[in-house]
Amino acid sequence: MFDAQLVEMLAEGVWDTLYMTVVSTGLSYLLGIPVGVLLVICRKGGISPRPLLYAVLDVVVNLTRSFPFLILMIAVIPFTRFLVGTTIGNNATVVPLVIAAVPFVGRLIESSLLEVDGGVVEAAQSMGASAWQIITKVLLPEALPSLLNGSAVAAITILGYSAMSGAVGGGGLGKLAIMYGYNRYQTDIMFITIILLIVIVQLFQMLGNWATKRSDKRVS
Amino acid sequence: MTEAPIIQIRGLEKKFKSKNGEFYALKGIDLSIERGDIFGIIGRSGAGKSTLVRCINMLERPTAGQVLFEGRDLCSLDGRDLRLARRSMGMIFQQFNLLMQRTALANICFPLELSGTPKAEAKKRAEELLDLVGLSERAGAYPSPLSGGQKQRVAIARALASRPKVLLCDEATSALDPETTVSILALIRDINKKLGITAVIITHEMSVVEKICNRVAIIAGGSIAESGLVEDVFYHPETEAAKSLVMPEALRQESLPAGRVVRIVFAGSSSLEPLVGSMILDCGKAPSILYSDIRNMDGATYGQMVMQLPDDEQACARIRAFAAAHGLSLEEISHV
Repeated sequence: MFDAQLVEMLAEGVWDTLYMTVVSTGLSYLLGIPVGVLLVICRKGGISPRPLLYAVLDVVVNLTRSFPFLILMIAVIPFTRFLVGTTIGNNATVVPLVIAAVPFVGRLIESSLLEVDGGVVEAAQSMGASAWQIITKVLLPEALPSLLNGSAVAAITILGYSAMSGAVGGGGLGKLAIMYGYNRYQTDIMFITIILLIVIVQLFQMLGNWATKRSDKRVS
Repeated sequence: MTEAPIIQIRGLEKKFKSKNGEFYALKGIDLSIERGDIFGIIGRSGAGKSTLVRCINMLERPTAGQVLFEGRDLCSLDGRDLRLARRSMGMIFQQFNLLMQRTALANICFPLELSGTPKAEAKKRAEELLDLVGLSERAGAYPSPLSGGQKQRVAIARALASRPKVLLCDEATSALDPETTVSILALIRDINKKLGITAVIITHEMSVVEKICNRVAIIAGGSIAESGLVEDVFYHPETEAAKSLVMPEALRQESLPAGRVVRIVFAGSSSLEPLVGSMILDCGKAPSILYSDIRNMDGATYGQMVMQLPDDEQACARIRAFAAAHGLSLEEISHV
């Protein structure tokens, strides 16, 4: 059963899955960090309260998060085609993955930043720090361990979404599992893909834990 | 004082709005803090003392009144001007509020980074400050393993980095044990003397004010009940709020024994013990002593003694006469 063709196919599946996950996670953080930061600083009692902006952002984030991923993926097909020119393949899958992940990542970042002690922010204000300086020199660095911990959660969630995308044109291990396990009843191949997914999830989590621990200066 | 006060608070008011209407945290506050003062603001929790100190550097915006810092009203400042003004006021906190992800040295560099000081210069200044607070050997340590006293030393060094003119201390020793408190207060006094930095000390502990402050304001219910030189306010409190803070718990009206109870205060050179001894000899009857303490403030001895007078009019009169003759202030605090 383990012929060269199968191994190559699995290797390609792993690569596709990793590619989609890593690229989507990266882009989600690029867009999600501003969302999370705005949610924190614009809230009532934040360092730069803007109740209206906060309310709008809050609703948009909740709306986007309430879409089941599969439906969101189909709903944004026109947008995906506009951006990437196609609706199948890795790059096409990245578009809905990022759209689904940005609000999720925004919330993760929001909750990490909220853990930063308000007293420390106040101390920075007493020293004449601007809002931008508080974000870049206090909130983000102080929350770093929690942010790294969250990034493992985000990557693993995005990995799960990417596997789901196999049902509607996405690639990677999810596609293999659906194609062989569901359509062709080749449960052994499905089983192998699941094992591979588990291994990848484990690796992400271990990497996240390691980075979190390493960055945390609060424990001696 | 010929010089204008460094901080002058006029008609300060801070009103909070809640569901149940408005609530005045501070009302009609007037205070002058002179350059070089170690100014204590003492009150019970909820009296508004923390709000008051936060109004000095606009961490809380007063709803009315003025806070003049070197003659400039901080309430009128915004954005960049306010941020620049804040750099002339260092602040330390009860919970230290250090950046946990930065080393002691990097914490002290923080305010210098904010003001755009070149890295090398900031590091040099931070090292000097660490030396000043006696923590040079912990430069590379993160705050987490440091003791409370060490954390507060780092916080003090950080507050001094931008060469402020005023150091605001918000319950800076309340999280520390008595011994550490003494050493931190000594450090603040040192800084005041050596660097000429005016200190504003917020506390609920009498002992803190006694140890280092030259002036004190007593705050109760959002207003200043009394203010002045520490020895005046402590030994001749005029308002109820001041009395209840200055007098030890055991001497509250409700816990006093029946009979005539007086409080004798002596200040300056006179030493209490021989005086009390001769007073007893003089009147022929022994009062029972309920409370006594003697303190050294800025080199002079101050003390107070609370005693229950004998149940004998003549003896009482003698004691009064004796006190008057020896310059002791005697005040009747109950005669139920």
